[in-house]
Amino acid sequence: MRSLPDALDPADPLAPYRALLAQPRLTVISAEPDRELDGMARTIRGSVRIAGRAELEVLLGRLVAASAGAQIAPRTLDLLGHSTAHGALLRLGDWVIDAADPTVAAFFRALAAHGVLARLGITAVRLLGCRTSDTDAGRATICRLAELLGVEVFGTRHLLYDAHYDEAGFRDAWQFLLVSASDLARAAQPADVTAPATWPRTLDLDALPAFALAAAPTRWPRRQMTRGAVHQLLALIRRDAGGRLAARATAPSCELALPSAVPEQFHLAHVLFDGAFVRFYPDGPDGPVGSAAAGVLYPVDDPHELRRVTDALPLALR
Amino acid sequence: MSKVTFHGLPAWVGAIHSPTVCDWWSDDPAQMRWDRTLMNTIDLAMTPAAATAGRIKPAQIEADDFTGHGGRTTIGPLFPGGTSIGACWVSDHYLTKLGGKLRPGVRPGVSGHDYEWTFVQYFDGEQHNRRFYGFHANLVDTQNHLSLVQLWNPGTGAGSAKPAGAWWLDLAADTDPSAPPLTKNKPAPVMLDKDKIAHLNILEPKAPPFKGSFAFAP
Repeated sequence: MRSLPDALDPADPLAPYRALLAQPRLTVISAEPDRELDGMARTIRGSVRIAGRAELEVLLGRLVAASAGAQIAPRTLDLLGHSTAHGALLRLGDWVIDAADPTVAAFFRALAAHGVLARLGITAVRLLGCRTSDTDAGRATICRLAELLGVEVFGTRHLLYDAHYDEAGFRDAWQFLLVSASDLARAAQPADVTAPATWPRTLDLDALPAFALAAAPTRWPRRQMTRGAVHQLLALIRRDAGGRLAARATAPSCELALPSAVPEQFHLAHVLFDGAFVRFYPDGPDGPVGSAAAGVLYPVDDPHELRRVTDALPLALR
Repeated sequence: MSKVTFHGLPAWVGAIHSPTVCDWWSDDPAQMRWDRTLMNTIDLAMTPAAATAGRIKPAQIEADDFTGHGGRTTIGPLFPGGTSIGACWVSDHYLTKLGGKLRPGVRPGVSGHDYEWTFVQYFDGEQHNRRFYGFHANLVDTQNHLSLVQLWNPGTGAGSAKPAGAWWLDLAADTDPSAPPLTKNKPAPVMLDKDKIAHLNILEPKAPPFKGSFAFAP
């Protein structure tokens, strides 16, 4: 299994990366024990195997270093691997490219912030795994990556086989199988998916994202908590029993604004099922705050006491 | 009310007899010297959809529907253009018909429990054609009508893999009523409603192993 290119000449460690930059496509293939992918890697000249996000980061970093002073031609970045069975999200080694995962979004956001794709002449990213545009999660990921990177991102509704590739990579003759983020943008919807974490999830109040209330409009009665009320709230919650709600969004009875360490910034939470649960948003508001996609539910030991505490709070300005 | 249990197996098609009837191996034929006596005949048209439409009885079902038609079978569905390597989800009736020649507990290269490769399909009655998929699960907590349940991706429950997540589920409404209930902190099988799984970020089982999915990584 070929991994990141090794330098044949120790005096010029970037030579293999300059060779990659001479190609019209940069094909990156998931490194895993898999006969299909092994075969494709043998077929596609100059393809690179990577085992996850860290290796992709190293590869792109070395390519950027190798690009200094070089004539850069437009190219595509082709990411090739299997997709997850349920969400049809592309997987590179142990890394699932799921834009609903904040760490994935942060990675691509950082690529854009450093101008990595522009410096490498990459004008499009193609997610070449089976059915990567055939699910809500897949389409949302394609659209989100295009938004973050500022280039066109492609996926496919079809199954991809080794016959779709030749020594130059994904064959031009099969381009009709691909669909772009621009095509999907109108239909894209956020996926109801969860991020990888340790489950059940423990509530860490300080790690919750904070918002200015004016920038986070709400549809529900919003109650602004004092620090004393926050202590009362936390005493009522089983903080080590966080889990997703396996259902579509459930309307809360009220929204709680908990003061954060930053002045005028608040953590947001929702009271559900008549005070039996409180939902927090540790992964941030991917989608509207209040959607089932983003929240983690914690059970409340004494719902009656919770209602008493929250009912005594003043309503906050929307 | 009828209930049919299905078992997922890897499948290599070795001979085609009609657009829907084929002979298949449940293990890599290259590892078995292409022994044709180990192949089994199946009609991929004898599916739950055919039973629901009234064309066959549930007891005649041999395989689940093709993945593109709402099922989990990935070989076929029509030959000669259909897929020849994939997964074949066969009914317990079919296994009985084979007289023990095919054993669902034997799958190459996976570390899951047999129930992670099992689902049940009801026909008519109070369950209204509902389908329940098997998972390895652990009940962590309960609150009102909801239970906090850790679930493992199929094929990983018997290994050292961490759970794919924890979800608050209504076990009374979302699981197979004929299955035994979960006990707190005792990992056990759970059969979850197909529609409920759509809300979970969890992998479906893939077969055969080299078709991918981390669930099969050695």
